[in-house]
Amino acid sequence: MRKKLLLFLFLILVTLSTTGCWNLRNLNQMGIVAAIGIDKGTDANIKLSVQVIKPTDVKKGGAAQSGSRSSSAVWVITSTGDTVFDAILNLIKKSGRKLFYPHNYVIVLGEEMAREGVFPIIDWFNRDHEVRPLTWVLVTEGKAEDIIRGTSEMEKIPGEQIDRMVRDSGAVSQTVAINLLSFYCSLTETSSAVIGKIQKKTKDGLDEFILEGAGVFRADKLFSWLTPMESRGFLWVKDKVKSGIISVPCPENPNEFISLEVIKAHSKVTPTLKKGEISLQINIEVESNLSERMCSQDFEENDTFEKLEEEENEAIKDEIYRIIEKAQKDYKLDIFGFGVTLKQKLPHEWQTVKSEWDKIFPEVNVDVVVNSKIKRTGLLKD
Amino acid sequence: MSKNSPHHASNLGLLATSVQANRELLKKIFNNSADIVFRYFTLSISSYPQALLIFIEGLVNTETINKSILDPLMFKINNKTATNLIDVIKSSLPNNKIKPTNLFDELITGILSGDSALIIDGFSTGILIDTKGWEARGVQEPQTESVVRGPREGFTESIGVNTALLRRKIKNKNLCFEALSLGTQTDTTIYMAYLIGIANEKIVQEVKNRLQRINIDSILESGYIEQYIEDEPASIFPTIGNTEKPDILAGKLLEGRIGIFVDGTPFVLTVPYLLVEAFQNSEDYYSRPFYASVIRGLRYLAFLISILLPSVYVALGNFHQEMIPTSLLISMAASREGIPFPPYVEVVVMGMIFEILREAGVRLPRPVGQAVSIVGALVLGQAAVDAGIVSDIMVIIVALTAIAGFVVAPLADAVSLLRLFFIVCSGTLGLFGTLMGIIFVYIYLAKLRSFGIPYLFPVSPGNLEGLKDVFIRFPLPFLNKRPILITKNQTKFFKNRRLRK
Repeated sequence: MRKKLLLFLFLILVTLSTTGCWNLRNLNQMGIVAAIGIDKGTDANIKLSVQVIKPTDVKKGGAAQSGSRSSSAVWVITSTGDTVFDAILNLIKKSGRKLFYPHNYVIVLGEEMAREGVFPIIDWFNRDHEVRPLTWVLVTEGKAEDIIRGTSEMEKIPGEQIDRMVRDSGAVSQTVAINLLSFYCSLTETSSAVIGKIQKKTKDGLDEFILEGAGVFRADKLFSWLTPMESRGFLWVKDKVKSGIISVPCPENPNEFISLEVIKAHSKVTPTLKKGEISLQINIEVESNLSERMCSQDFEENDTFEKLEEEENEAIKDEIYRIIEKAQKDYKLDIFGFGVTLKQKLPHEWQTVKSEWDKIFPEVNVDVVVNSKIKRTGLLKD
Repeated sequence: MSKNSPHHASNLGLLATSVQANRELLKKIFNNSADIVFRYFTLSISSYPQALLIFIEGLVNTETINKSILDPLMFKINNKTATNLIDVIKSSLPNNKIKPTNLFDELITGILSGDSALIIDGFSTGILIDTKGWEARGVQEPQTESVVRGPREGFTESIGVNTALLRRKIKNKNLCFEALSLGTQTDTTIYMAYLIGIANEKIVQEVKNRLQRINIDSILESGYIEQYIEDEPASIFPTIGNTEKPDILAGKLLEGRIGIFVDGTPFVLTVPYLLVEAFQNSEDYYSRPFYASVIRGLRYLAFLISILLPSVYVALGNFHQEMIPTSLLISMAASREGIPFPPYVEVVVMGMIFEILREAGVRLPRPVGQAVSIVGALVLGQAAVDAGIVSDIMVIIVALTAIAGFVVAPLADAVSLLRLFFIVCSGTLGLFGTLMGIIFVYIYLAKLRSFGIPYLFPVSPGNLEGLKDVFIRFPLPFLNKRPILITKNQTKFFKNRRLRK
C-alpha cells in the first residue's frame, strides 16, 4: 500500500514536472493588441496595422504631463503578408513580444480592401481561437491604418476610445454597431451586410474620430455608403434603435422645433401573402419623451400631443421609406434580411421565391406603420 | 484511573511503625530532593509522641499548615488516652479533606499533588491532609479569543479553577467530570467533562477509550492529547477543537460535545470538532442575528480568498489572460513590467516572507516585535516594489491573503498549507489545476471524520436543522435543536409562541 502510494506520488511529480508549462505566457512577455486595421498592401496582398498597448504608459501620469498633445499609450506597428496569418506572424518580427489578441477592441477594414471582398480576410479572425467573436467591426473611407494611427484626447488607448464610441452609439442610433460574429452571419445568411463607418479628421495636429453612417456590403464587397439618417432608417427596420432625437416642427411655427427623445422602440416585420404576392408590413412602436421645446409660442390646449405624435410617426416613416426605397431601387439588394424573416414565417413560400429573391425584392410592397406615444415632458409641465 | 497511575506500578508496600524508618524511606524515594520538607514536632498529649509532617515547598499553603495542622496538634489536643490516637487526630484537625492511608504509594501521590502527609511515631498509618495552595495566574481575559461582547474570563493553568469556571456557567447536576491521569513521568490530571443525557454515550465511551490507550511519558499541554486521540493524525485539518473560554466550552457541551481539561494549560479540548465550528464564533450568538449572519458569510469568503486568491491570480496571470477584464489586465501587465520572476515564484517567495515575519513577530518580545512589523511592511513591501523586484499587485494579493487567513483563526494552519498546494496546482495546470485541487480537497473533507462524525456535517451529509446555523445564523428561537449525530437528545426546548405585550 505504502509503496503504491509512493509510486503514485512519484508519477504525479514526474508528470507535473515534465509538462513544460504548455501555453504558459508571462504577462511581461506579451503585447496586448487593442485595435487591428486591415488594408490592401502595395507589394504584398495584406497590410496589417495593430495598436499594441504599452501597459506602463497607460498607468503613468495623465495627459497633462505631456501637454495638450495627446499621450497615446500605444505603439502602432505594421506588417505585410500574403495571408492574414502571415502578416500577423510577421508582426512579431517588429514587436519582439508575442502579440495577444483576445482583448482586441475593434477591427477596422480599409475601403480598398473592403471593396475587393472581405470573406478571405475575416476567415482567420473567425477561425483563430484568440480573437473574440464579439470584436467590433468597422469600415473606413480610406486607409484603416490612418484610424489605427489616430490618437485620442480622452483615452490613453485609441482602440478603447473607438470601443466606447461603438458602445454608446445607441444614444443617437446613427450608425450600425456590429461584431465579428454578426458580421460573418449577416454575410453568409443574407449575402449583404451593413457595418458602421468610422472616419478620422485631423485639426491642428489633434485627431478626432467620428462614428456615423455605415458601409453597405453586397456579397462580401463594400459598394456603397449610408448617411447617418439612412443608417437610422436601417436600424428602425432591424429593431436596433435604442435612443435618438426626432425633431418635429412646432405646431404654430414650422421653423421652430421640438425634440422628441426616443426611449423605447420596437419593430416587427410581418410578411403576408395575398394572391401569391408577397408584401411586408413593418410595425413600429415608439415611446418617446418631449425633451425640448424651442417654440416661441405657448402650448395650445387641445390635441397638440396627438398632433406631435402624428408628426413623429411621419418623421420616422419618412426615414424608413427612404432607406427602403434606396435598397429596392438603387441597390436592388435586401440589406434588411427580409429574406430570413420570410424563411421563418412563410417557409413554403420562401422555397418558391428563394432562387429569385434578388429579383422579387425590389418589387415587394413594404408597408410601414408607426405608432408613437409621448410619455413625459421632462421637468416642465408642457 | 488506577491503571494508568504510575506509582501503583512500583508498589512500595506498607508504612513502618517507626517514624524514623518511614522518614528514611521517603527520603530515599524522593532522592533527597531539596524541596521536600520534613517537619518533626511533638503532639500535645501525655505521651508526647513524635510526629512528622511531609510536604513539598511551594505546593502547599503554609498558613493552612500552621493554623490547621501544627497549631491544633501541638497545642490544642488534650486527650490522655492515646489508644485511638489516629481517630483523635482526625477529629481534631480543622481541615476539609483528610484521608488516612497505610500505603506508601498513596502517600507519595498525595504529597506530589500538594497534600501534606502526617506520620505519628508508633503507628503504621499516615494521614493525608489537603493543603494545596500554590502561586497561579488569576482568571484573565484570554489573548487568543478576544471578544467585543461576551464574557471576558478565560481558563487558567490550574484545572480546579477551570472546572469551577465551567460549573459556574452550567449549574446542573448532570454536568459530570471524569478524572484520569496520564503521563508515566508527569502524572498529569485530565478531566473529561460532558453533560449526561445530552452527550452521546457512544462518543463519550470512544473518547474514554482513546484517552486510556494513550501511552506517553509526559503531558505538558492539551496538544499532546490532541495528537494522540485525533482520528486522522496525518490530516492538515484539525479534528479536535480547543478553546480558552468557559462560555464557548459551555456552549459546546450544551450541544452534546465533550470537553477535555488538562492540568497546566488554559486550552481545553472539545470533541467532536466539525469544519463549521471554525466559522462559528461565540459573538455570533451574543449579538443580533442579522449582522452576525453577514459576518459569517464574510468569514467563508475570507477563507476562500485566503486559500484561492494567489492561485487564481497565478492561473489568470499565466494561463488565462483572456479572462481578465481589459483594464485590469493592463494594470496587471504594467505592474509586472520588468519583474524578474514569474508570478508563482513571486507568490511563493512573498508568502514565505510573510510567514517569516509572522513567526518573528509572534516570538519576539512585544517592543521588538513592532520593529519587525515596520521592517516587514516598509522594507519588504514598499522597497521591494520600488526596486522592481516584486509587483505591487502581488503585494496586495499577499497582504489580502494573509489578513483573510487570520479571519478563520482555527483553520489558520490548514489555510497556509492549502494555499501552497493550490499555488502548485494552478502554477502547473492553470485554473484547471485549481479546480482539480478544489475537488480533491472537497473529497478529502467529505471523507474526514471526527470521532465518527462526518467532518462536513451538517452540510454533507445534509441536515436541515443543522443548516440553520451554518451559512447564516437563524434567530435563537429557531435554533431549538441540538445537532443530530453529536447529541443524544436533540430537543433543546420546545418552540414557544412569540411573546407579545
